[in-house]
Amino acid sequence: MEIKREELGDVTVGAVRGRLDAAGAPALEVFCREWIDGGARKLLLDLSGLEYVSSAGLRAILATAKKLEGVGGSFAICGLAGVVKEVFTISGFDSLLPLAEDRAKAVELL
Amino acid sequence: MTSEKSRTATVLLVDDQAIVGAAVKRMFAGETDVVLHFCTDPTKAVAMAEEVSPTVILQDLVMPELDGLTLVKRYRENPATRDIPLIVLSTKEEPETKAEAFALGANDYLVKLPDRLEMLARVRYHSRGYVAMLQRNEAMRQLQAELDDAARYVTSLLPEPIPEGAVTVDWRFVTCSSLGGDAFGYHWLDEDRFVLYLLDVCGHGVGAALLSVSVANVLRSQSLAGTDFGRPDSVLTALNAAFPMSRQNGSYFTIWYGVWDRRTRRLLHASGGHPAALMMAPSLPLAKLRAGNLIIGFLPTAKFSHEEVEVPPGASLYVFSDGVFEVDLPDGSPWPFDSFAAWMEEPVPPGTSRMDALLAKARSMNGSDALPDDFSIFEAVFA
Repeated sequence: MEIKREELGDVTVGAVRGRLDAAGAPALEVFCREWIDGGARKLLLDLSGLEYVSSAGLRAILATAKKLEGVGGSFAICGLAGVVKEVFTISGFDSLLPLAEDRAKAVELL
Repeated sequence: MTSEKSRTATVLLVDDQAIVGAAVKRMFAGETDVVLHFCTDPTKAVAMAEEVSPTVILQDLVMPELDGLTLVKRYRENPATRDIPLIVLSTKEEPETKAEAFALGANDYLVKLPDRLEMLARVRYHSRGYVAMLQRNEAMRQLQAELDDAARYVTSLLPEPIPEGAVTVDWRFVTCSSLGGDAFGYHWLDEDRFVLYLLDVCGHGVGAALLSVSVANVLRSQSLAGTDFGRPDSVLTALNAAFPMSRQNGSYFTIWYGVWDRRTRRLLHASGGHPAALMMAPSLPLAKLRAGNLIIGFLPTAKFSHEEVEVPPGASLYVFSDGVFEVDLPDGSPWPFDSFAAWMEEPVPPGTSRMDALLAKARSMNGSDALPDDFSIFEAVFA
């Protein structure tokens, strides 16, 4: 799993690539927590480069969303496709988190 | 192993010269934590090592009948002596000989006769390391035995297959480690309604198995106050309230829960973050049964609903964990659910269970019998 930070106006974008599984999930959570602790209040995770997400990965994403909610921030996800989109649907995450097709549409949700 | 014994170094000295034995004996004289056994016949050294179970072997290199280096090799080939620390004692000082001794499995090399203090220090050092390794191995053995016990308990909670009746059920359950996080069950709720469920706790090992067993026991004993076990939405709502991840050490689970009524032939079903169950019936297209809801335990305010489907006579229902299809294709990409579902519709050779065919396919795609996740599936056939 790789995560790259980018800025899009006042939105912090985490571009995630590779496999978000039990091995990679803690890193995602730590990075996002650090960004939030550092003042990020609008966070967008771009998952278009993600090949696989496990339940541990979903938990890290949910923990990030909750952390952001706790500090009055907003959270969105974009770029779901293939097997990753499938896991979001099966797990019920698609109805729980704000999802958008691409970054431009996601920014409007934040 | 007692603490007194764990502090004692049991030394086996193998040397054909009695004078060396006497010298080493003098070195250890008065040392209450060192016990010396002396073997002058190298052909009997391995047998004696097996008998006295030394914690250190002091091995001479140049002996008649049997070369010391050959003996070093034999100790290492024998399971009883394989891990015992070996200190080679020799008059030879050439680096090549020392290197060969280490290459054959010696742990240390002393040019004889070394100073008493150095000899004692090395013997104690190697002995303590070996005893610590034995203690660790024993602890690991006990831990594994306890894990095996726990795994037997988890498996004992799974229901027996039902070979005949209005609903027949068979299953396959292969855990990826000693203890898995999957559990399933089925039973008649009353004389008309049959309950089936399968749950998958995140992760593997002891922690996942403990939560999995807790949930399975609650469902088996129907012990959730105010819950209608004939309604999947009621069961998932109650489980979500009873097992929030904030009170389960961050753990959560997915579940598929169904209730079939033989009077109406209707099946109520709900999924809490769980993959669809697959229903196949003669002359009907494959049905993916997934009334989608959130994973159980994630969100206290989550709402749960169920759906209803008619089950034709002769229909087969497959309920499984994601471990049965979350294996990678040969190109390294994951097996998409729809491709897996399409594969499940393909005919299997006569006399072969579809579940066995799936297990074989998962193993073959994984390139090993050891699967990355728990493999749990049951097949219910409705008369």
